[in-house]
Amino acid sequence: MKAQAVFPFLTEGYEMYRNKTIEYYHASKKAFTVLHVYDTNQEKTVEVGILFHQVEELSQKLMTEFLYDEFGMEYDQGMLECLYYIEHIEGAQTFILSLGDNVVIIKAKSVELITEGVYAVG
Amino acid sequence: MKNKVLEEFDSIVLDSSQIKYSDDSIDEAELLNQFHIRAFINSLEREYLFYEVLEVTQDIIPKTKPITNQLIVVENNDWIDSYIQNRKGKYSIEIKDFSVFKHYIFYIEDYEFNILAEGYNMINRFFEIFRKYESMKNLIL
Repeated sequence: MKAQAVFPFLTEGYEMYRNKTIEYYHASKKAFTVLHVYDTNQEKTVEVGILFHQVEELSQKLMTEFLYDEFGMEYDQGMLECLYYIEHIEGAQTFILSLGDNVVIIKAKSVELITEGVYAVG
Repeated sequence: MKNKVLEEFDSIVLDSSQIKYSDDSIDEAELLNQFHIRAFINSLEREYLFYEVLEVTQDIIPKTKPITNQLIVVENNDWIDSYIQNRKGKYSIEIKDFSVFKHYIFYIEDYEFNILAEGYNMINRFFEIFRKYESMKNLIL
């Protein structure tokens, strides 16, 4: 299974504010993050919210050669787009968010892009 | 697996968890990530802040398995050994001393969090990030 970019037009920039915070909320089973990314359609840096629905898991793992293999990605390709996913047969998806040396693994049913009223704080 | 119980809770309700990555520096990143757990303990806000976090997992415990709500540290840290084995190649943050990392397990309701981190602090209120803002708070509800 090869990981695919969720929003291929949103890419990690070169020099920008790179702090990232992702939160999981037990009551609503949602996870949420706001990212500073470069939008290749608008040709500018934007703040976008990413909202995950029916989240089952939020984990952090070291990005290793083994994980690159598991995600079907080339080791020297890096992670240029901001969010990847792998679709499973049973409908759940694994989302992969790059976080420096690590990745955040989010197992969720769906994802939503929010472009209004979101701020990359914290 | 030998464990040492650090804290045990009669009444604990999970509110949220957070993974935080900071890279403000123009040069190399220096700090490892943070992992926070927010919970109501005896109805009071408590935020556990794990620092210098290498890895975190979150699992749901099957309902059939009775659990005690507690925070423990695993005395035989096999996780760090396998982590060192996996950590081959180039990483932006250099780790000089792996012996400082501990394997914590936090059992809350039907959740089991495994945290490989240097240590933790606890603060007596929730340190809100996104929920401070109405527009984002409404999305999360």
